[in-house]
Amino acid sequence: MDRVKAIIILPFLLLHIQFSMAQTEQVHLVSGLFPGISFEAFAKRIEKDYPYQMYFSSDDVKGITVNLSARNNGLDQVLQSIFEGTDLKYFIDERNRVFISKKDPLNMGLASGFFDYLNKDEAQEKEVIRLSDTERAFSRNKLYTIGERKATQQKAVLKGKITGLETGNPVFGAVLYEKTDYLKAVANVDGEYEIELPVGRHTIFIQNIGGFVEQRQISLQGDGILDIAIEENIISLSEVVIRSEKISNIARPEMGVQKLNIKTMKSIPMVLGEVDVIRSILTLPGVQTVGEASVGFNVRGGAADQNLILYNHATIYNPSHLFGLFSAFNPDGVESVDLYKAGIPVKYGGRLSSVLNVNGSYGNTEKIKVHGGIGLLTGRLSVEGPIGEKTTFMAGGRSTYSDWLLDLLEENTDFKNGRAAFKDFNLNVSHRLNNKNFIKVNGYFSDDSFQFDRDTVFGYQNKNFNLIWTHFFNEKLEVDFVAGVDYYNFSIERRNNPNQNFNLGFDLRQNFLKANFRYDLHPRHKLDFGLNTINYSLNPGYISPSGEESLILEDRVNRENALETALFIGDEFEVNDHFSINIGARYIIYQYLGPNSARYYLPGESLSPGTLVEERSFGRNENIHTHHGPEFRISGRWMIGNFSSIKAGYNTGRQFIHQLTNNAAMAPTDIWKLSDNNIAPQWADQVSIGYYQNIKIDKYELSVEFYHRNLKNLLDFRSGGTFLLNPQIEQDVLRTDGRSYGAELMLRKNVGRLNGWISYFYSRSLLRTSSLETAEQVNGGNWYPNNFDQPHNAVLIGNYSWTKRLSTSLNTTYSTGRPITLPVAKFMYGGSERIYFSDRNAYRIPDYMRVDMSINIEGNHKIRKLAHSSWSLGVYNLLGRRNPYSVYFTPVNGVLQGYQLSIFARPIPFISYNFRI
Amino acid sequence: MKKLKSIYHAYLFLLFLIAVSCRDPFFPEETNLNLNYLVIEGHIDTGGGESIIKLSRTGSIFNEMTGSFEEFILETGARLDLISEQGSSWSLTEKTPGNYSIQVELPSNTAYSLNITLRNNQSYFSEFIMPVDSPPIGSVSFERKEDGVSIFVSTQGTEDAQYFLWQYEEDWMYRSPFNTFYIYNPETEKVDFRPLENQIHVCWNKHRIPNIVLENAGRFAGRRIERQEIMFIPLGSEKLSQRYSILVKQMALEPKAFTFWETMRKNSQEIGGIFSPLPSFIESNFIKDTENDIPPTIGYLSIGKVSSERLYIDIQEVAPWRPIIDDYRGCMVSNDTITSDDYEIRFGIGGSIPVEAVFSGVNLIGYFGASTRCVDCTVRGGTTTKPEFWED
Repeated sequence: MDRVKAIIILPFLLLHIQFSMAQTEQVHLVSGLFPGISFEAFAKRIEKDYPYQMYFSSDDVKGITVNLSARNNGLDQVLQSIFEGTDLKYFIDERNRVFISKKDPLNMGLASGFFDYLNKDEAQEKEVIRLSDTERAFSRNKLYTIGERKATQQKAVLKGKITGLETGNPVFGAVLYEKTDYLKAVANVDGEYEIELPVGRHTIFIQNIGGFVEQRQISLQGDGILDIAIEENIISLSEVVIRSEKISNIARPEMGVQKLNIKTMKSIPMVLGEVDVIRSILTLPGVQTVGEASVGFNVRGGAADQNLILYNHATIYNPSHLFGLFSAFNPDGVESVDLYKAGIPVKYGGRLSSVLNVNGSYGNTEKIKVHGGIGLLTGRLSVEGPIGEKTTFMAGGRSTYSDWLLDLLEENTDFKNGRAAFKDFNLNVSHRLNNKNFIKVNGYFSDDSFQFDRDTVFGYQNKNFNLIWTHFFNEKLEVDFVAGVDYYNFSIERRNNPNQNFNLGFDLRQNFLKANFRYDLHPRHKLDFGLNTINYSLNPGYISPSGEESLILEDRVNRENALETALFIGDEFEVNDHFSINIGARYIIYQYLGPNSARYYLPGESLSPGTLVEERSFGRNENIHTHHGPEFRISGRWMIGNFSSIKAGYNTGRQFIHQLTNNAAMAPTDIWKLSDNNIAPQWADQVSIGYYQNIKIDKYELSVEFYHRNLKNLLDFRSGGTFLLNPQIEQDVLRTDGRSYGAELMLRKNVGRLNGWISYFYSRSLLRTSSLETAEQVNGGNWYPNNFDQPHNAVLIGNYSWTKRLSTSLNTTYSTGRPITLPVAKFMYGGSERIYFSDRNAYRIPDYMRVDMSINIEGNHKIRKLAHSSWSLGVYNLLGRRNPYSVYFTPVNGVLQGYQLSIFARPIPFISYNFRI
Repeated sequence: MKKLKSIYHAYLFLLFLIAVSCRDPFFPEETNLNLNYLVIEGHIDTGGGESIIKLSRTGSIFNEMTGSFEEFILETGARLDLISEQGSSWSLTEKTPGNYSIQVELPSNTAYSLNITLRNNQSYFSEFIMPVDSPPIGSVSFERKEDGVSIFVSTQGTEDAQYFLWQYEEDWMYRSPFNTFYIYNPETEKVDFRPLENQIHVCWNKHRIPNIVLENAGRFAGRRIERQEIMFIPLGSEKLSQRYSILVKQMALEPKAFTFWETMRKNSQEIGGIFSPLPSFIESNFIKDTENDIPPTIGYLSIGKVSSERLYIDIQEVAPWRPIIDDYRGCMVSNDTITSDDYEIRFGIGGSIPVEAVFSGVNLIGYFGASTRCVDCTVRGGTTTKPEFWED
């Protein structure tokens, strides 16, 4: 119990002390010329000019001459240099008292103790470690003197154990490094590390994966032990990195990167109580959605199909279940999520707008654990753990057990006979062949089926499988080889009239190979290079009769094939401590391959049956058309002091696979189309600049980013265009240019009882029919807002921990209503009132505002308990605001009626139960 | 396990608490514009049937109208000429306001353009349109289902005629609950025998508000469209209470005209759901006269031979069929005899109609009456005149 109390109080205590400490540090920097004076004279001057009290024995300092020039140096640095080569040690306490003693620095109870000597017995060692916990506030700037000085020794071995501050558990994988020669060590399973360093003064950095970087000042005299307690699982914004890249928001060279781990995601109130990856990232600045029941998300004004969604290297083409109410990822199988809005790493490509990298878990190494949960609609179960010494796995499944939701989804509409169900499975296995070779296997499968009426069943499936071989050539060079298959399909079964029954569908398969190398060329140069290749095979649509009576003609649009190969190289170059730059380039060769037939049109004319010149057939694997070109990724960072930085970046991208939709939202029946000789790849570039500031020693993180994007060769639909089963899709699309720009402002508090973030972002996304397009000019060829152009957005996420077990969360979201094409006139035609629409997206639906609240209750932590359980309950849309999802007009008995449709128009209470064995 | 069960019950309970989505009326004021665009609707039947071209104006979106053509501003007094590519010309005549009629047999091997000159001297020209002749309708059939009657059309497309549009005209005969042979004469204040031409027991009603029914024969084996549902009559409808007739008109369209109708159908009937398409711009085959700054027109003229087929359905064919009509609820012949003193009060202003004569021995002492709504079929909007085409 005492321990629990200590844990709760500790962070506050520490932060408080850390803060005051930082102040003393900054205020009392020592400057001045001390030209060969005695130590006593030096001490007097210090006591006179600075609020330090010096305690020492005159005998000890006899014969020491101070001969130095200090310029804004810390007193510790000054003393360190004075005492170098002597056996004098010093200690500065929080009241600015300086104690100088021989051999051992004075141990003031609250002081010292991070280091330990090899010959000390274990009991003493433990004592020291415990002290180190209470004292962390000092550790950042305190100097630890380690080991006994031996005259001949040039190098010394530093050992120790890295433990979590709160849990006391060893921190496996924590990286300890120093910045002069870039020597580093990684903590093993027991948190132990060992590093050989030159004797002398060092700043060592300790990075926990996904946590803060901490630092310690050491003076290494000889071999010694330093045990370090660090913060665990603190989520700092934009920490993505596994290696010893540096690290916090202000320091990392890339920009526009955000990371959420599962713990943060759990604290965001979710509709229906299910932790949800995509709904979580929707709370980040720059990420939007067109509505509550939409499949995709929009990043910085990009379309939903411009997001590359990776789940352990597998591309997930449809990341949603139940029209976007759930995302496709079982939360138990997810460790963290990285979202790259700009500064997309050079190893990723193929999508213009963002990369969402969902890091699936491979299971723990200690023991088999079972997780599970029951939500309002779904149940999930997963098992993780080790198999033998070298293998770990994570297997999970999720399924709906009821489909009452559809009754609620569109009440008063014709979905009374609606049914909906989904399930998904994932299996991730990691196996260590030896210290240099690791194998990982990932499998994912999802299945959705739903119907709005009795006669029609919709369904879609994702199937993904891949194999990763990681090989370490030496300490500097490593490689990941990935081979895999991604598959997506949807189908529609219509059963209303025996003569017209059919099955209709679409499928897409991509086989891919990746070789991603990483080479630490030089302490200041880290290279990424490699090759990615994707072989697409896409079935754009088929329809086949169902049943013997059906007269439906079998029809199949020619299968499309393409090969996309990219070579890339990137250099992360740290020019100096202030300035670092990432430069990368990719070169992509895309070949549209046979067997297929290609249509050629009169140049400069709109693509229509009238301008078709010829149609040519191509054989198997014959190259029909090649697109190729470079992409650039450049970003730089300039550190301003220790607590702020400026970053800027420029990157370009190309996209060869396009989702065609004439819906506002991404629908499960939207098809994908490959670039061919008529449809050019989409192209975009983005310029961004940002300012980052950490306040009160990383307690608050502030970031401001601005960006501007240009896009070319986007596809909008022509009036009356259809995409499904259309063998000449190029005749139904309009080449469109895009432009998006905006600003993102975010203030995040990472630690403390009250944590969370507040963000505001401004985002515009505009389209204009390309001036080359002669078929139709939407809105007279002027810029018009994209379907998801919602300029003003604000999000507030707040968590408050009442106790270790009870926390509450609040989520407030506001955005401008999305644009809509509204009827502006009506007329009589075909015996009924009809609607004449305004220019495209000339109006907006009312603004969107929602407040959610949830309470998380953890069960008790008794070790002998069979299962640890937690409850999550709350209310979605607490205010019950009727946020319109869409506005539409429809004739009722020949008379036009206007309606606004709201989804989740009332407060929705939810509850879910989670357990872990 | 017990815990799980209780959780499940909790959900069931919540289920009752929640009703999640909703649909509210929506009237954005800023869209209440008055564009006043010209709307041209029609199909010219080259087979000699009567063709009507309707000219009207768009209305503002939120005016209180009940949905009939006459409520829109009609473009009257215009001059319409159909011109063939060879230079021949036919004039249309305005039959009723805004409705311009032509009945002519035209050769199908030449293109036609419709020229319109409005009263304000604005002129509109359609593109030259090649007629597409519809093949004859294969059959019009019906099927009694559990919840009503479906009416189907089947047809055989050809190489030239692949895209079909069906429109239909519904007529039905119905009866009031009570027949009467008597009529009150307010001038004489007596009850006379009702002349046969004044009967009010049998009426015919009609309905002319069709859905757009479209199909592409190219989707089907041998371009055969089988049993395309064009109409559904729900159980209990009065339409089938005696005898029902539907005239199905089949028009073959060129691909662009088909797209126009398809777009309009989607724009008005499929908008607003979760996966509904965004509204599309509707094209017109009237040439946009931008030079003279004439506002755009709405409409897509089609030309070609129309084929039609009429189907009759008698109540016996769909039995059991029990019409449910609120107007007839509680209809009964009252038991109290209305004597001649009360004729004026009861039959003149009282809303009753004499139905049955009451005799005492051989002396007429009065009549039993019934409410007008139960006797006079015209109250429900029909007419007692049998349509010209009607076959019994």
